[in-house]
Amino acid sequence: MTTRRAFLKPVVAAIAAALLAGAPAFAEVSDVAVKAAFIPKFARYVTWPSSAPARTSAQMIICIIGDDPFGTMLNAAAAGQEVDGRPMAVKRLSSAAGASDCAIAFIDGARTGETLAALGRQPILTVTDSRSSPQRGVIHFTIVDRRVRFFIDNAQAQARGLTISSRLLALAVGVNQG
Amino acid sequence: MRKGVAIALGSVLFWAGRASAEEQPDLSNLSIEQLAQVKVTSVSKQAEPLSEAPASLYVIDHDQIVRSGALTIPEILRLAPNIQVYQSSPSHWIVTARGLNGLPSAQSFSNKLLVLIDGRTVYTPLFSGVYWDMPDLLPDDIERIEIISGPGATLWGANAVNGVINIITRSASSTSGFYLDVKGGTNEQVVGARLAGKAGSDLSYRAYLRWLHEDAFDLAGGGSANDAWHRLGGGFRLDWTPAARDLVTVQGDIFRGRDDEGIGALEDISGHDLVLRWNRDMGPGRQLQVQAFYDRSARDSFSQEGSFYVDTYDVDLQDSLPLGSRNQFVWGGGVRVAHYRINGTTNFFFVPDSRNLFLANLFVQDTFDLSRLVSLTAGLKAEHDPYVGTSLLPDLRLAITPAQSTLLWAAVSHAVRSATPFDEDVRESAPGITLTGDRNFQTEKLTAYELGLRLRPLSGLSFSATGFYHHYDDLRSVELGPGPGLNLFWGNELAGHSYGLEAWASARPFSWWTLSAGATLQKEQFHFKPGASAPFIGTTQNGTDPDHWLTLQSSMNLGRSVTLDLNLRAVGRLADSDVPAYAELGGRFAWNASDHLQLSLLGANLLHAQHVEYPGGDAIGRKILVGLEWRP
Repeated sequence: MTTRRAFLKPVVAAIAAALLAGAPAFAEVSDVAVKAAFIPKFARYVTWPSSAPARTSAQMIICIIGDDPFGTMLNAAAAGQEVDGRPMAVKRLSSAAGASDCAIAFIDGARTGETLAALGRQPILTVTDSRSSPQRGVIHFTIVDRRVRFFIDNAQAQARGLTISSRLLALAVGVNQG
Repeated sequence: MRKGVAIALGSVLFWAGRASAEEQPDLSNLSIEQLAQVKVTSVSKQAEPLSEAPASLYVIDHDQIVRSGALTIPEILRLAPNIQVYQSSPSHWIVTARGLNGLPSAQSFSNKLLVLIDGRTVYTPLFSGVYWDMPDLLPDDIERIEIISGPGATLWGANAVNGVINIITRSASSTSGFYLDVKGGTNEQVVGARLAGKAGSDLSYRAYLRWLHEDAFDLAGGGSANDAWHRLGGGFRLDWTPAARDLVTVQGDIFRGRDDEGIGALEDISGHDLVLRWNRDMGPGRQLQVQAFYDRSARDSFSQEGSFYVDTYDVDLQDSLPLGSRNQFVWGGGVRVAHYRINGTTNFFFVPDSRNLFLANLFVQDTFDLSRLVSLTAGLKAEHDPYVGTSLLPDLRLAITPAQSTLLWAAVSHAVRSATPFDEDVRESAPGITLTGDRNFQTEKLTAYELGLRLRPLSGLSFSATGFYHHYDDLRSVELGPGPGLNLFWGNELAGHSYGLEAWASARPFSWWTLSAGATLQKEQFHFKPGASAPFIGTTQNGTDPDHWLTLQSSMNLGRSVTLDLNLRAVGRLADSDVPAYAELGGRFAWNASDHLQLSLLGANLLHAQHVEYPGGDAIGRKILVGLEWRP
């Protein structure tokens, strides 16, 4: 009897505390938050061609094209990050028009395929999400064993003039070499 | 122990001082390798495919499924607010959308839903209804279930009259390793196991096995109904990406089971299926899908010697492509052959007892952007069935998105329920009474008018409402033929309309708590057409539907490792029947003891010792199970 009480008690305390306060005792980790944390970090493991805006402009621009699942999360994640001493900025677009200065483009929503097609072969690291689109950018998020992972399309990266480091390739759940 | 409580209170005070409901731990200092190892405790429901579809669509997602404590597909379907689910025995369920749940005493069974599992139809071509004891899956293997109430005939295909249930399992790459799922209580035991992994960089596999046993319920009048059942099933799925733009899926299942059907009566159920699917990304927004499947379903009520089998062969193609900058065009088609043989009994048989049913369809649909905010979708399907011939099924939908968080839509569509062997070929008899199928049976026709609104004003808050008006014609009716005794036959002498409202909302007041509520309100008015010969049987012979159906769900994360989920449903009295209104509660309490082990306590129908949901149905008892899920 005493052992059962000891087992039950912390659970009951946790429930009571959570209910009484009406506030989380522990924070949630959503897939969107992890994706937002990933995106600015990708920049360190990708080399853009020297003429690309990703290399020449004063800021490294991350674009969200189509639906925006992040709210303020991506801005927060990008805020502290820099590449070669250049800060990162987030820009939201409804279509591929105006995307030429993007270094990274996260593309989401029903028109992902059209947007990818419209971006042509511009030197942009395209990022897509399997939860909303079967069409794949260079990096395609997925969820494996409750962890956020991604596929890498290295053939598409090369067509865009991007070189992806082996450290990032090693983390992919699958790499398409073309 | 005191120290633990103090820390908990301290953290509560700390968090209570912060207003935002979307607190996230700081992930920015983690390396990419560490990020790849962060375990996600909640997966967003925001980016669902089809979420912009102008239809009354509800999606039950993976988290909802596993957290609900539901053990079988019909129990999972209870989570959707726009569908009605009734249990009549441990293995027998009735599922419908927008009413018409059947009336067993008039030999009428719910028959206007299209039900798909990964593209394979699971309703039987014999009467267009579903034997819900036949399909079964590991709940953890289901990615999501899309439920459309209302017609979806143009894109979805045959029998999508009152609704579509589209069950989509997870890709083989989304799971890995071994998984064991054991749930048991005094009345029900379920054991599931799965092995998944990768063979090379582009091939993922998964195989599963599941055993289910449920004890008999009581009869509504007391005493055992002697209707225990068990089922053993297994299957596999392979996902192969030979190139980035190609996905090839091969999957299959096999099962055997036995239903007790009262004292001395037993029914064996069995089946197997194989599905082949190829998706190709053709570039610039163009998607091509080719799918073929084979399915065998058989039931053998061996003590009474009635049995049947159905072999279905099906090939479908769908091609989606942008035309110019303003049109998204989809076309496709399919052919299906169902071969069946029914070994009837002396008082229930079919003439002929075997047929090859040939179905074919061809469809086109175009979504045209009238402006940046307004798009129009027009579709037309030509469907050929073996009895009546070709039916044309048009569908017109208008979608207005005045803001990114708002969708206003309207639709007019036409759908039919094609004739089946049960409508045309059946011969039933009892002393002094016969029922005969009608060779002139017509398709049952529906024209539906819908108006919908969907809002997502804030992250974590969503709302959907759909008003519908269904106009039915040529609904099946029991007719009276000449001669001594009651010589009944099927006719199409019922018509009428139904109208109603389906609404649901979901809110996340705190990042650890999600609340959802849903309501379906409906009214039905049917009348006999001038040619009707047996109006004394009543206008509710196609359904004894309630006028309301309410759901409430609460999903809580109580700390990092404990979850509590509750679901409540309240159903109105069934029209023209002795089934009263009822409310019931189910749910699950789970403790993730470690990354590898989860212990749970789950239950259903907790509020009453017994309740009845369907005319002639059993008294359904309370059930409580303990569960263990292990991922070594």
